[in-house]
Amino acid sequence: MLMACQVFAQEEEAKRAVKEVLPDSLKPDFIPSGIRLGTDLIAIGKTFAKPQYTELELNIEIPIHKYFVVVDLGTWDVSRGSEFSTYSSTGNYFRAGLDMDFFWKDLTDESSIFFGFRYGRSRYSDALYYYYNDIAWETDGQIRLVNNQVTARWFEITSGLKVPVYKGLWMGFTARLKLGLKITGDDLHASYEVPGYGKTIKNTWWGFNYQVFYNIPFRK
Amino acid sequence: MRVIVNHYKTIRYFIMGLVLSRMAMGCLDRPDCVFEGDNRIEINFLRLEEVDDELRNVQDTLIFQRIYALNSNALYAFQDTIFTPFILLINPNDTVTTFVFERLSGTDTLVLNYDSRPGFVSENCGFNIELTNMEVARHTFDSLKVNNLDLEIKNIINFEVIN
Repeated sequence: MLMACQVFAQEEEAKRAVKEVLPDSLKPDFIPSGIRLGTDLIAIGKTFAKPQYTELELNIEIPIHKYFVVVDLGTWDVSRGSEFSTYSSTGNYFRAGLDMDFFWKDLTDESSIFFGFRYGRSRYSDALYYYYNDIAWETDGQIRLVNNQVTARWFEITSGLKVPVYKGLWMGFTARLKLGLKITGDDLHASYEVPGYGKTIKNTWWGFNYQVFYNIPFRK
Repeated sequence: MRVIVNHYKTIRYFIMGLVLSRMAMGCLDRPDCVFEGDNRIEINFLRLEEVDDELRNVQDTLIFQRIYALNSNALYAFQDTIFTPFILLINPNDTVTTFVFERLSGTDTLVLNYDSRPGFVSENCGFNIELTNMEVARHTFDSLKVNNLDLEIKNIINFEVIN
């Protein structure tokens, strides 16, 4: 009995010793270390490069241990088309979700390769204009159809990479597999593009963001 | 700079990811002019005939004075002998089309209802009007067999009129 107690005490001591040698950087710390504010460089690039294209996105990330609480807020005003048919959509969107750094080593490891998920929601109006000339029906004319109160929701599986490039500055990309799109309110014509989601022609759709972040630390 | 050197391997992956994802996006951006909607329907005229002591539907041959759709100047037949299945076009800019079949012995009508929903396809392809939920609202034929009401399914006879 005495022997058993001694062995147990030794094991406990050994465990305590291992715990004591764990560096602070490896201890789980679920207090947010800061907040990262960023934006999507592709959206900005398209806004400058393409006429009738405005998309701006604010990316907010809160790192907690090896997780990131992520919120994306965006605004969108895009028109496309030709002389005979144009489509335009205007609205706002958000995505919210969680990323997990799968190669997290310790708190000093600032780079991350992550996987995660998002829930996205968009509220917008869209308009379709077209000119038609039907020989069989001998009809022609111009039609403009506007869906005023359209909402959409979708889900995303995300993966990507983020690396620190300069003091407080991070760069990275996020690949998104978008799925489960559901649109309500597009009664007069089919939505071609959903702000924050993109083209609706396929049930699943890929998207990419190249992002730059600035980290505001909560503590040293 | 030291930070960049320390993360050389990660940055290499990052750049590789940028290039690969840009290539993938290039493929995805290509528009495909796939028009799901179609406004063609195919109709055939049959008659019951005894073949080898058995009643069968065989191709009928009919002379029509006119076949046309209301509110349209398109004339599908004018004093024609119809002996094969033939194609009619429903109006994509409306939700109802009435076809009129005039013969010397009388006039028949076929009224079709459907949903018409336009949508933008792409800059290069323009727009498309998708026609769905087609149904026979009414008809005056003695017997009308409905084979297919889905306009996306092509090369199939939609209606058979049996005399």
